[in-house]
Amino acid sequence: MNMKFKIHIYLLVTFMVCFASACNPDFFNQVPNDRMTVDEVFQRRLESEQYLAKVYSFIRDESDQTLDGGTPYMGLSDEGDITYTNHPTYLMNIGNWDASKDFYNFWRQYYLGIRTATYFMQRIGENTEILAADGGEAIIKRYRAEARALRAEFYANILKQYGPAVLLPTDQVVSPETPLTELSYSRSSYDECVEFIVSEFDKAAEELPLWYDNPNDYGKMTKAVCMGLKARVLLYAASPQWNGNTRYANFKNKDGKQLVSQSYSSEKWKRAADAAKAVIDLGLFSLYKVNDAAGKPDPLRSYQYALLDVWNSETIFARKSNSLGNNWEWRATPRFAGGTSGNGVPQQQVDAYQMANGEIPITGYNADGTPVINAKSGYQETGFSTVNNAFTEAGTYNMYMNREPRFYASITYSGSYNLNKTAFPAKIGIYFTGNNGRNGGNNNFTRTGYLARKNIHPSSNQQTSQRVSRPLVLMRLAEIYLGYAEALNEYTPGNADILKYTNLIRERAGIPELAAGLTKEMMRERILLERRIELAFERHRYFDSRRWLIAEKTDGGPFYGLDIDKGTSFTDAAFFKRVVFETRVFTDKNYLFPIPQSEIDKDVNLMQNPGW
Amino acid sequence: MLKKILILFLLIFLIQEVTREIFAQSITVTGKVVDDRGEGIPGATITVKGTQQGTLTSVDGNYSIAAEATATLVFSFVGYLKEEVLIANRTKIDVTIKVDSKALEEVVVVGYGTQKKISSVGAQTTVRPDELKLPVRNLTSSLVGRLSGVVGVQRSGEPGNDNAEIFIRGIATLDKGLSQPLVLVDGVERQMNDIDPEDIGSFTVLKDASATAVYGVRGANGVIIITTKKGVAGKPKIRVRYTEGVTTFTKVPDLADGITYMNMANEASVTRGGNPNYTQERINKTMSGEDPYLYPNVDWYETIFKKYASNRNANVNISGGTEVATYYLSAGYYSESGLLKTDEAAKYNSRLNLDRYNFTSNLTLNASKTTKIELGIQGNMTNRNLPGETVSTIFGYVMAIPSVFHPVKLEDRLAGSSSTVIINPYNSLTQRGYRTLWTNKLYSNLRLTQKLDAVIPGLFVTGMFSFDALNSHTNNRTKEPDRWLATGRDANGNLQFIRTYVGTQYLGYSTSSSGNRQFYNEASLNYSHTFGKHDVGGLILYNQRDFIETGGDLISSLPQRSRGIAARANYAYDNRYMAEVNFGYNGSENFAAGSRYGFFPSIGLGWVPSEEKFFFPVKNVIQFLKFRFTHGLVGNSIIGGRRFAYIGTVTTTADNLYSFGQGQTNIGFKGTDIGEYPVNVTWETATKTNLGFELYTLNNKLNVQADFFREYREGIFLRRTAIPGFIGINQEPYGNVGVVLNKGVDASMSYNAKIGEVSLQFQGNFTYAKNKIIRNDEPAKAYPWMARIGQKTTQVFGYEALGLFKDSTEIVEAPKQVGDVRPGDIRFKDLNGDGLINQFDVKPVGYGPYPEIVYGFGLTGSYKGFTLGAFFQGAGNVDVVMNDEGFVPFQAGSERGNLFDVVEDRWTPQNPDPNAFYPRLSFGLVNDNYATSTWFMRNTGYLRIKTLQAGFEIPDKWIKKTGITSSRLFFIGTNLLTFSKFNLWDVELGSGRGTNYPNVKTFSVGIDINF
Repeated sequence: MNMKFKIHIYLLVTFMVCFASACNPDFFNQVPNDRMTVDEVFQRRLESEQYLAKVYSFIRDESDQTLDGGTPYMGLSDEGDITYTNHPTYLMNIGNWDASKDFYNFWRQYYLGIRTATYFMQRIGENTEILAADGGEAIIKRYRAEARALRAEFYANILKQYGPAVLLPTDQVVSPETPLTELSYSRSSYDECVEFIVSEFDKAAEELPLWYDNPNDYGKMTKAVCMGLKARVLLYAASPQWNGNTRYANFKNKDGKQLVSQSYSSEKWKRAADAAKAVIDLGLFSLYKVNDAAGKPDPLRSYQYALLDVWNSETIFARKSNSLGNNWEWRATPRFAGGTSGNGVPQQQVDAYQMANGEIPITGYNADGTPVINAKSGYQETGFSTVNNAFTEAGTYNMYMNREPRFYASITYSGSYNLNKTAFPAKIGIYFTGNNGRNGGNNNFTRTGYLARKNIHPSSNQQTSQRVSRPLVLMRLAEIYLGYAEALNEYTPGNADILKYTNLIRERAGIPELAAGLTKEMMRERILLERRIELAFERHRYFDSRRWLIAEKTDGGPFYGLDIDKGTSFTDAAFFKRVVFETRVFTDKNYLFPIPQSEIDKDVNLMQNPGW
Repeated sequence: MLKKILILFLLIFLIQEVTREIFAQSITVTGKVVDDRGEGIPGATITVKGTQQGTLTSVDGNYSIAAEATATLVFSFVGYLKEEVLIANRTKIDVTIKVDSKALEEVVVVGYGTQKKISSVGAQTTVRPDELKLPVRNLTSSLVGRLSGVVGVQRSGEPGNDNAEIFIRGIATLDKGLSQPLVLVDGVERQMNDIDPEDIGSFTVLKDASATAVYGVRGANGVIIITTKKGVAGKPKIRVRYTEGVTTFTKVPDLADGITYMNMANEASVTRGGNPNYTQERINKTMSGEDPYLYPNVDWYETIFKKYASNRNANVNISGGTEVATYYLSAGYYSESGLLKTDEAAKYNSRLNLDRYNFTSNLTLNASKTTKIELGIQGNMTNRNLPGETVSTIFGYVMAIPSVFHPVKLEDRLAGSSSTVIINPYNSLTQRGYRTLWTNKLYSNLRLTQKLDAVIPGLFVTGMFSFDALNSHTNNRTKEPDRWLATGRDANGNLQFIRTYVGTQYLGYSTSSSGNRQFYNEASLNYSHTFGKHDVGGLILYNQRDFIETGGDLISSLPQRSRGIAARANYAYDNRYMAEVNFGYNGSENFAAGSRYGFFPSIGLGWVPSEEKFFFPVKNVIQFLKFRFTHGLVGNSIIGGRRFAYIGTVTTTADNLYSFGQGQTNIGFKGTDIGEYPVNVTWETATKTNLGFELYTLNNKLNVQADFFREYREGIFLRRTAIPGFIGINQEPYGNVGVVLNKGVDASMSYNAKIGEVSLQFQGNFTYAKNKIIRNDEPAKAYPWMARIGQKTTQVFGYEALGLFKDSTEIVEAPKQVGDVRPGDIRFKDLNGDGLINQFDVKPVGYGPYPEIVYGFGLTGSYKGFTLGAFFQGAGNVDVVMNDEGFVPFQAGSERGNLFDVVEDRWTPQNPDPNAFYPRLSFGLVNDNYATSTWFMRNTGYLRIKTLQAGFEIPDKWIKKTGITSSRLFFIGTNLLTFSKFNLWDVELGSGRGTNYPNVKTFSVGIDINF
């Protein structure tokens, strides 16, 4: 073979091997084919519905009161204490946080929700599959209204946690390609935010069905839900924190815009009252009540099951997906019953419960922290009972005797029984060497000597992980009643509805009605106390103490519990002694969460909250 | 400066002239030294053998030297063979010295080929493969400190999990995970971890733009080029190597015993106004050890660690061949067991163990005088056996469980609480079953080279095709057995138990697997020729790669493709002046059509002044000097975790995210959302500049190389975190927004000396690299010290500790700190002077977790058949931040978290030591004592005896009859000693609390036999 020819062959072979696939022009055009794109999400029904479910998911699962996945509002108020010293609530309570610590930083989370909602509203109208279905237009209209209501609720949550929000364009999301200079938004005033939220709830309510006609829709936004959530927003807006609060006189944007109105308006209370009344007047809801075997009202069970019985007559809004069983219940259950005993309750909350006779047992505290006992209540702080009665058995510390039924439904104390008594018949001992005491409990023990007991299902068994699943109630009629009474009392003190609705709550709770003749201030006290008791551990107390500007008294200073380092038996008095378990730090800045420092850094026009 | 040096050299020269006169007792020899073309060689060295006398030839090659008439003259010149001539009373001796073609032809590995060493201008460094033959599995762990320019750390010593992190000239981009060098084995992108060092023919690191530009978008992080051994024509040569060793930990953290634990817990509580946590009774009972089930006192590390384990390494290879074909065949075996205990009673084997089998086969076929076909096939299989729980998790458990919480076992029951955090490490290690994992790798490459001298002399083409495959499988056989706690003893003294966890009795089974495959093709046209004094070379190369791996999602399952063209032209004149141009033109599927291809050019210049006439006067001092300068662009196309950035993605949750419905009906919906927004992004580009020199002096005995480098990396992929959170974007889109500047120097030296029959070899290298963020899309900070811009990419931020508070007056007067602050707590510096210690007082502290300085040096001596060598490796400007549960005493309150025994060195009111290790103890994080600060930062600069070797060549006469040509017995130890001020855990493990499998030291003996 000719040399040159041979070379040519080799050249040919070499390059053929290498270029065989190389010359394929599609070499780089291998984008993932036939996959879901955003455009297609809004072309297909199921995908759009899944996107809407994503929007819903930004409603926080408040059954977690410990870590970032849930909300911290129980442990940050005087109704609760999360035992673990390495959890953020502990650090926050002792004042060890600042804007860069990002504890429970939901600022971004809520805005993620707002963006997904806006984007859904922006695009759902394109959905050809839904449009082609029967009543397609109506479905789209409803879905869009659901997203609108959800968005309003996310804004409302920002207002609760951070105060004045940044209001974004409503019909279109901001493109991620927008130059940064155009993204330097500033905060709107609190009242502007409220107006926006209210108008959005109103708009959504118009397009939503009043209530569910399909059982599969429970948990979605309805007109009634919108009205309830709106009533809550208006009640907050009328409260002293936001209604002419002069502490916020200097709370302004850089351009001088006042963020919190400096003039008090009693009309705000009226608006709140009207909104609550509108919910009541729907006639859709009623307080949940059950009778005992003898056919008489059973206040304890009625109160208890208002949260346990699925979608009962009192439920307005609930989150079906939640971690009640493996979180809330687990953390509130004693150790020997498979729980972690971490959701403690401070003595202050225990003291708040009224007596069975409706009287307030403790009217205040002396400088040394000892309680001022209301003699006519019959309350005692020494000794142990000798008889069995409806809720307690002989040998119970007298502090827990003859309290109102809601106490026994809400508080686990040393000497009480586990709710699931069948599987765990032992009496709960929280004294030092008790079965749920500090001794040998590693870090799983209550620091206060009490555990929260509300919203635990008696059939749940933490040791075998058999948990009764149910929706987490986020709004129920009792809240609306009490909000109505509260607002009305501020606007038209003496209005008959004030007593009427407060007493409806007391009646269900099985305690005597309040008599007429209380002053506006006295009535206010009683309504707020009723709220504190009725809505305990439902994440209200944190906000109530803030919007009434009493948090410096309730959330700062010494926090009391029992002496968990003492006691060797159920009747060891050494354990039943009030001791300070923690001194909490509350300063003015704690009325609001700080906006994360990283966000403040990004936007020069974004004002930080006062004091942070 | 240069002038002064010249004068100095002249002086030395003169002194030599004078001394020569003094000893000139005998005859004077004159003559001329010429090369084989008859031209006089200026600057050649003439020495009298066995003396210090010597001289240099003049410009025309003439010399004159005084010597005894019976002496021998040695003529030498760089690049030429030495010539020895007996004077034998002659007074005129003309000598022709021959070019040492070996030296001139010595080649170095460059991108896509080789080049004459003398004419290369790129910054590269090589290591003798012999130095990599250590009794460790992992090649990466042998590199740090051995090659200048390689920075690295080894964060774990767990067999099979002990890859070192390697960076060429440090980290030059914002995500260290994207700063990994490109590794090419036999020209193909491959993993180097499991290559048997015995099979390595050459190991080269390419560092600068001129060396790496041809790799274009893949070259920005530097390139490591490994070639495996090939056969040499001749009789079959058989080599056998076997080592057997013992391993042990370099350092195990020392934990406090139970008594200390309880006393410290009590102190932590009492010192801040709380009650003691443990009664004196319990402490006494624990101390007496009377009932270890109820009053345990456990050193958890002792329950999981063994003192010694073993490793074994064997390799047999055979090479040889004929003119037509050569071969290299090798088989290797490596085995290492871990230092973790097992339960002898268990019905399964949870031993931590690794076995690896390697084979390599390289065949070269000379199909014709001009045609060469090379086939390489390599494979390895790694078999691992592991405990049911991952090892790093178990280490975490040790730090979470106190020593007095419960015993290791309760008689025949397993001890453990219901907690999901405080877990018995012994159970996790020995009672949770086991996992087996095997990984198979197959590498193949077929290359054809055709010389085309007939067309143009020096021209040749090559083509290569390669396919690689990797498969990995894991079988999990795990369970979670019952756990018990003792609650007390009954009247008869029998233990009473409660069952805290109801578990599974039998091992379950699950499996997972993953794999990848790669095709790689390459074709090139090469040219290399010498015309007189002109050396000319050129290359044009086309390549493409197609890689697929099993991925968790659709996008990661798509092939990763790239293709490109590389070209080089180089020219050298008279081995004195060199110039080189390189470029790479690459495309990647990661970017939108239109911005897929990038062009990466570089230039290089070299000058060898020692070949210049004016240099001859000092040639006896400096035998060789070369300056190199390169400048160019390289790129990086890998965006961490995000491919096809130009298309948006949609994510859907695997499970239902939100559900609706009443009562029993439960209508769940998955959540669908926008995952990533589409962005039009493109390469990272690195502008690299390198200035270096090479030097031979002291009669070629000392060789020094140093390179100064600067890299400016632009367009670094970053999420655009400057977008405010209220815009509500789920994942901020990427942009080419980051800029990092990386600067430094790397240098190496070697010195060879012979003293009598002892030959000594000293070598050392040094690397310094420091980067700085120029831009990172970070918004302006409230105070300049808070900015990451201007700092290192791995910079740690924290408070500056000023010491411990002496008394309450000081606390009152000092800027306010958060939480419970008492005397003995750490005082921090108020940087902005606002009287508060908060987020505005956080500044850059320390050097960060990756060393700025890495160095190594070693000395090897040999005498007759004995050799003894030590290699030291060190790092500097690096530190750890100590934190997390277990290190922070009682971080989560009582009866949780282990303790280091250094806890006794703490501040107490009785002993207010201002330099105590720990501040006043506390229960929980009651203040900022354990926030990141300089107080808990330690410099972990270290120096290690990385290897110590001793060998003995068995004399030929002992083995003559066996057919063995040579054999050697040796000892090798690795990581034998570490010198560091930090001693809480192995210095390389890094920040945290030392909860990684420590690095191991090995003591091995072995034998090398050649047939």
